[in-house]
Formats: sequence, structure tokens, C-alpha cells
Amino acid sequence: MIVTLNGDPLAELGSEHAGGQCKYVRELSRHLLLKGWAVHIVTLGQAGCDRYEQVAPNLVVTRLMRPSGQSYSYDVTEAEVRHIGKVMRSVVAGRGFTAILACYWLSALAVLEMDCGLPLVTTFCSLARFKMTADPTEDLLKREEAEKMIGNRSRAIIATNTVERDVLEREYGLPADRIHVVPRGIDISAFTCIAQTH
Amino acid sequence: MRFLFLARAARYKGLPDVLAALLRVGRPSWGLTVAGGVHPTEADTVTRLLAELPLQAVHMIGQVRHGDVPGLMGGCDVVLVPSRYENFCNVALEALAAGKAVVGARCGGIPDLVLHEWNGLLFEPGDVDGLAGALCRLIANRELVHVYGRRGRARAAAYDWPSIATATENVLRGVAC
Repeated sequence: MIVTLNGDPLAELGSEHAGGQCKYVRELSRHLLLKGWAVHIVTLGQAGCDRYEQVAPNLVVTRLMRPSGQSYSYDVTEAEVRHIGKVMRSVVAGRGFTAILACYWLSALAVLEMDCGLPLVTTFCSLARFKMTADPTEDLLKREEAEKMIGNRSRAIIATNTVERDVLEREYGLPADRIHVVPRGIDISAFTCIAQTH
Repeated sequence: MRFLFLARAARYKGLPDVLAALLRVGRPSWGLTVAGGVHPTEADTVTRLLAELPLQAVHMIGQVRHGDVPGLMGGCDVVLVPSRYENFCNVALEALAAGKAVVGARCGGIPDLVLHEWNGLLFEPGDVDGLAGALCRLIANRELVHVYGRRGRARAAAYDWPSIATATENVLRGVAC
């Protein structure tokens, strides 16, 4: 199961909240499918979207909405994360997942709130520590503390680059043997004609 | 020399830094394509800087579909990633795959992708003078742009999705029930 609360991976890329993380979840899911995995993505829905979408054999997207039926805002509150975690229990129940990959800190918080006993792998998207270099706020300080807690409770952490790994290890104090540097990928073939022309 | 700035409408992506740097570069011999929205908090700054730049030097084409990215890359010589902070930076990787030189800020995953003076040039985040200097170097040396592009293309191969998916799969298998 992949939990990604900061953007629907099937949304049109390029809008304010549909950037690299959405692309990552989409492409990773596709390639895990090719390797024989079954993938269930949990994300937040928007008005008019399908709440349950069978995108392909072995690929399902569940989109969560507020209890009122309205969509969540991009910055869900901690109270909403708690609720999302409880709702996700019903998504997990009886499906035999082997692991959960949480993309973005709020996704991991919701997974921890779910308390389902499945091993959690977290990738943070963008660390509060990085954001604070450009825009330090009290909220980011709190987020950094949450990221440390998440890191400590994750079975593994995927850092996308060596700078992130170093911050997680040295600044956040997370165990080095749980941090794996796995960059984002690219479909080289999509750019082959361009490169050859060049 | 045509530069490409491609980013979603996020404040930290550094569009004002690019425009300010190009003001210092002056004319002639460059053009800039800006693909992506402008964050509302930067709109006034961007408008002011655009007014100071030469007419028709900057093309603001707005948000583009992801499928248009390879074509956009193909139409430029150098891709700019001047983020104030960054996580991985997909645009830098796409630029490498397209065989383009990259000028990028030394933050997040950019230095892993762009090796300074090997397949691009790096500068400190927010250092407009450093960015302007890098742009001037490439404007003055088109051969360097081609060399960086070729090297970048070779570097991108290590990031092909099947390899990355396998590495991710290994992490997942390592913790799986």
C-alpha cells in the first residue's frame, strides 16, 4: 500500500500541488506492477473524483473525503490526519498488505495513527529542515519534530539524495542502517529522441 | 542561447532569481522560456523584473502538460533549476536525460545529479551573482554547453526507472511481513 496525502498521483502534473511526488508515486506504482506487485494507493480526493478506482489489474486508488463528503484542503490538520488514519483501517482490513510506503510526513502520521502493525517505509518528499532554510516558521519546527518521530518509528526510510540522508542521520539522529538512498527515477526513453537530435 | 525554467508554481523554485540574474547578464544572445505558473506571492516581483528585461527575451508559456516536457527540453540549450531549497529535483534529471546542460542551485538532490563543471554549473541558493556568472560562462562557450549535455545524458542512465524500482523493491522486501 502506498499512502500519499499531498497530491493525487493521477492528477495532471504541474499544478501547485501536483509535482514530483505525484510523478514518483505514479511511476513507482507502474514499475512495481511490472515486477508483479499489487499496489493500492491511498490519497485525498477532490469533488467529483472516483473514490475507488481500479486503474489496472492489481492497481487500485482509494481517495478519501471528509465525513461531510467534501474534499480535504491541501494542508490537512492534525485532527484530520487522525481521522484519516482511522478511515484507512477499513482500507487495510483483510487485504493482506505486506508493507506500507508513506510518501510525505503527513502520510506517515496517518499510517502511524492507523496503528495496523504493518511495516512502515517512509519517504519524506521535502524535509522541514530544508524548507526552513528558505522560510523558517514555528509550524516547520513542529513538523521537524514530527519527522524525527516518524523516522524513529519507520522500519526503513528512503532518502532521495545524499544531502537528505546526511540530515536524517546527523541532524535528526536516525539510525544509519535504516536510511536508504534511492533517488527518483526517469523514463529515459521519453527523452531519447531529444537527446539524439541534440 | 535559450534557457528553460520549468517548475510548478511554488515560491521556492527561484524564478525571481533567474530574472534578476538575467538583468545582470544583459543583452544580447539569450532567450528564456518560463514554463509553469507564477506563485501569487511572487507575482509582483516577477512582473517588475519582466518589465526591466528586454522585450521578447522572456517567453512565459504558463503551465504545460507533462507530456510536453521532452519537447520543451528539446527547444532549449540549458535548463535552470535555481531552487532556494529542493528535495530531489525531477526537472534536473529530465534535463540530463534530454542531454541538456544544467545550471542549478547547490541544494537538495541537485548536486547529486549535477556535478559542477562536469555536466553543469552549480551556485549557492539565492546567489544571483553566482547564477549570473554561470549563465555568462555558458553564453560565452557554446561548446561547453554541448559537452555538459552529453555527459548529463550518460549520467541520467543510472536513474532509469527499472533500476530505481528494483532498489525500492529491495527496501520494501527488507521490511515486508
